[in-house]
Amino acid sequence: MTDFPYTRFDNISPIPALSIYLQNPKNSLLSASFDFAILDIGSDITIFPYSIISKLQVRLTDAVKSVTFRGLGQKTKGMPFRVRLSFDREHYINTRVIAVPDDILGNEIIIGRNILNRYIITFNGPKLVFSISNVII
Amino acid sequence: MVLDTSINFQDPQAAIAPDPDPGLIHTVDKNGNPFTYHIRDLFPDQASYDYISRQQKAFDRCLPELIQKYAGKYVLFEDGVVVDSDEDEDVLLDRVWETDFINERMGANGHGIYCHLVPSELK
Repeated sequence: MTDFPYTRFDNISPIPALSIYLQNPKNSLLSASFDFAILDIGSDITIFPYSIISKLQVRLTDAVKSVTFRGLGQKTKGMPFRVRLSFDREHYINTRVIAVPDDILGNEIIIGRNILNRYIITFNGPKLVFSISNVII
Repeated sequence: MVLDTSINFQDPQAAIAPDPDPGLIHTVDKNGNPFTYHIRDLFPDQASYDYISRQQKAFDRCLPELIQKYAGKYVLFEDGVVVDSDEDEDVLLDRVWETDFINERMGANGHGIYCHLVPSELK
């Protein structure tokens, strides 16, 4: 298990977020990292800003997808891509992410259940720590 | 007197504006302001856009047959042919990931692939 601290802000509740490491699944030399990926068990998909996808030069895997997020029913559309993703730079998985314009998402990534359900994750709210298993299902 | 015949008042369709571009998406940005973009902006290049658009149309045409055989499964689909299928998309793509089919389409010069969930019934 790897422990991560919640991210604290002044005016909202602490957030379970972490840095993630990304690669093009066909060319690991094309890589990127991102400092603020939110674990969101309320989202069934993982959502990325398109600039990250563009940097990785990954390819499409499907047609247009409808996306609803921010918990308020904000709707938009995005495109699915396949990336290689890790929380610790050691254990990588290939998985689907949906890209939307940077103007919509801002400086964050939403990690949804298509990824979260592959790990054992424990949220310790009182201690503001969460842990993620190295076991990939 | 000269009649203007360019407008046909007999045809009700003539008064209806043409369909807006279905690729245009109207939403709000991260600050809550109105924001419009074109879905083509999220494609790496024109070849990818053309490929995915073509596969989407072919998939829709084949849907009745696909439902009979693959309802509830993800299919790796191209031009009317199902290359492989599975209930889990990641399992399916991991299985075929090192094949020539994928290498050609997902490599540096590739246009992508079309891996789509087959619904259980026609809408």
